[in-house]
Parts: sequence; structure tokens; C-alpha cells
Amino acid sequence: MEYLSALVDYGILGLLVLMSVASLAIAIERWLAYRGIAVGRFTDKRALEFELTKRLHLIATIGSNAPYIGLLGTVLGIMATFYTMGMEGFADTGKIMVGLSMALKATAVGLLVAIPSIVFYNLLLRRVRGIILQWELENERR
Amino acid sequence: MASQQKTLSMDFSGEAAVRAETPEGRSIPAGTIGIAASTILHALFFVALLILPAAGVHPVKTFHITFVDGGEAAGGNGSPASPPGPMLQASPAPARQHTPPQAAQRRKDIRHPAAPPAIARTFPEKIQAPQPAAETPTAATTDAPSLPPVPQTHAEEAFIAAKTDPVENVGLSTAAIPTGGAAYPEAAGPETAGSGNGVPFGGTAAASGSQTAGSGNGVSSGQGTAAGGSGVIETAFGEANAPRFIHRAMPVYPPLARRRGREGRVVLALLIDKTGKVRKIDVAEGAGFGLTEAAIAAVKRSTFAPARVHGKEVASRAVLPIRFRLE
Repeated sequence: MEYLSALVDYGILGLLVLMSVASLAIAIERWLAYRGIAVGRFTDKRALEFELTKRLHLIATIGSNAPYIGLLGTVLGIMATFYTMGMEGFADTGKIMVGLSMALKATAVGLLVAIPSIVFYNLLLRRVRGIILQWELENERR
Repeated sequence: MASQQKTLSMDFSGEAAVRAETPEGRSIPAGTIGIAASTILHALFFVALLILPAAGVHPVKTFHITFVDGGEAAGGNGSPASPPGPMLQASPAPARQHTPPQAAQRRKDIRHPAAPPAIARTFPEKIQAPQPAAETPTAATTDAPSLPPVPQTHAEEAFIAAKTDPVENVGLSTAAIPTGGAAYPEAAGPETAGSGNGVPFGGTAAASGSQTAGSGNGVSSGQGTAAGGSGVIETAFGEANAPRFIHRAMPVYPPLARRRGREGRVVLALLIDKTGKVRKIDVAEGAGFGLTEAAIAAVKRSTFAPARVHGKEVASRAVLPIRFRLE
């Protein structure tokens, strides 16, 4: 099951890195959009809301799923390690430990991706709420 | 954004509003900026974390933890299948001088020796991570420094050397036996020789006899290697090449030492041949009050798997520290 460790290394970790890049890219894009939006241009509050919340769900998905993907990588790594342990007996515990550390790396990266994503999501959500309230105030809706 | 125009009929002036009203009047859409900035930031992050340390610059300090195959810390009863547990290879022992309170009962600690005086070995310093509480620490204190070197060490050595000779003689005789029937005569041979001398080598001999079952060459070539001295590697228990315990007998704490509250550390150097049989036991560092003898007796009751270099069994001279601690 050596392919499992390669799968964890390149597949899972690569996927997490991609998610992290995407999450940060979307966050930056949204923040720039919120800076530049002209609230007065919208006649309907729902249109404004639709426009503002456009890609936030992606950040939320990345933030909530990254730990699970990391966990999946960990589980695969531990599977591979146990398999190695079973096949080779107890010959080389060094390799076992390396396999386990690789497995834990996946969880760590997953958390590293998730934590900023959740922070970004909450900050952006608050900003959206603020912009909508600002629009309501400007249009004196109750 | 064009696709959104097709699928939804809503007020999309917002999109234009976003684009046109950006303060700096950029023509680059915010999405492109976002992707570019994100990619650049991640690339910088990876460079800082992975590439720069390789190049010698250390903006972020990372710990490199390597695990070494080592003796297990506690309570190993020497069950036949118990593997040497992995342990964190910490900085050399003399740096630590504390006694932990958490050794639950008397047990044997197998550790890498810091620098056994009789055997010159250096091994690279590995992790600096703090040791978990469950780990009994390396070679702390309680080497009874006031004890004089035990004079019977040399006599013991000579005694052991004399005892091993009959085993080697038996090895010569079994070499003549054809390989097919080597198992039983071989097992019987060393045993009778051992019991003939009144020496408790029986356990070791029986196990190594079954170990070399089917290969009468094992004993003779092993003996040849031990006698010749070529191909004998210097190692220490716990290293990757080192011999391993098949059955680890725990030493019996000498009643005299226990009564006197004596703790100590015994460092043995075991000459283990290619078949895993112990040929010679040297005492690199002895302790008094019968601790050395208890350690040697435990080694004799134990069985070993030989050292391996590139997968091939070799004879080895392996250092084995044994710590006696009371609780």
C-alpha cells in the first residue's frame, strides 16, 4: 500500500493547498468588492444581498470541510502504516513512525486551511450584514 | 458573469456597480487580483517554510523529529512478540539530571548509553522536543558513583568466555551433520553442552537452535564469523542495525541491592553472532550489589535476533544499558 502514502502526500495535501489558495483568493476578491460597491445603485435589497453573498458559500465550505479532508488523509496514512506493520512484522518501527507522522501532517494542514477560512468567512459575513444595514438606513426601510 | 445573465433575470446592475465604482478605477476584475494575490502569498509561505531552511536560512524554526527504533520504556515482560518500542531519541543523557517521580514499579529501562566509556560510539543528536510524561527519561542520575569497580568483572568475563567454548565446539561438530537433519541434533547439542556445564544457557540455546533450524551452516558460519572477527559490526541496542530481543527476560532485582535501596546502571556489550546467539558478554560499566550479575543473568535468559546490515545477518557487538531503579 505504498500508493496510499503517495495519495496522502500529493492528493490530500495538494487538494488542501488548492483549497487554501482558493479560499484566500475568494476572500480577497470579496473584500475588494465590498470596498468598491456602490450601495445606492441597488434598488432592491434582495438584489444587493444576492450580489454581496456571491461566493461566500465557497469559503464556508472550504473552512468546514478542510479538517475532514485532513482527517481523511490521516486515516489513509494510518491505514497504510498498519498495513506496513502487518506485512513486515515489527521489523522497522522507524518506517512506521514516519508513516504516522505523515498521516498527522494531513490533519495539521487541514486545520491550517480551515482556521483562516472560517475567520475570513465570519469577517466577510459581518461586512455583508453591515452593508445591507447601511443600505436599509439609506433607504429608510424598517 | 455572462452565464449569470442567461440563467437569472434579476437586477445585475450590482455587478457593474462593483466594477465601475472601485475607488482606484481598476480595469482588472477583483477576482483576478484575488487569485493572483492568494497564489503569491501561498508561494511565499511555502518558500519560507520549505525552501529557505534547505538553503540555510531559518525564518521559521521547525523541529525535525526523527524516531529511532529503541528499547521500550516500561513493563516489557519479554513476551515473545513484543517489539522494541520506538522512542524519541533525545539529547545525550548527561544533560538531564532530574529524577522523575513517576516510575510506577520496578522496571528495566533500556536506553542508548550517553557515552559508554569502554566503547567509543557517537551518534547524532536528534530531537529537541520535550519528552512526554509517560516516557521515563534517559539515564538520569543514580549511577552509584561511590561504588568502586567490581573486581569480579574480569573473572566474570573469563568465566563467560570459558563457558562459550563448549558451545563453539558443539558448533563444529554439528557442522558435520547434513542440513536436512540439523534441527534436532543441533538443538540437542548445545543444550547438552550447556547443561553439562551447569550453566543456564539452555533457554538461549534452545531458541537459537530453533532459529537456525534447517541450516546447519548457520552455526558454523556464525562461529566462524565470531572467531574471525571480520564483519562484526559495532552497534547499540535500539539502532536500526542492531540486534533485537526475541525474548527479553527482565532481570531480577538483587535482594541485597533492594534492601539497601541501591539503584544502578549496568552497561553490557554483547557479542552476538549471525544466528543471534550470544557469544560473549562484556561488562562495559558495572554496578555493585549484584546488579551486574542480575543483568548478565537476564541477558542469558533472553534470546536475540541478529543484527542486520542491508538485510543480511551479521555478527555484532551490541551495547546494552540496563538500569535498575527502585520505586
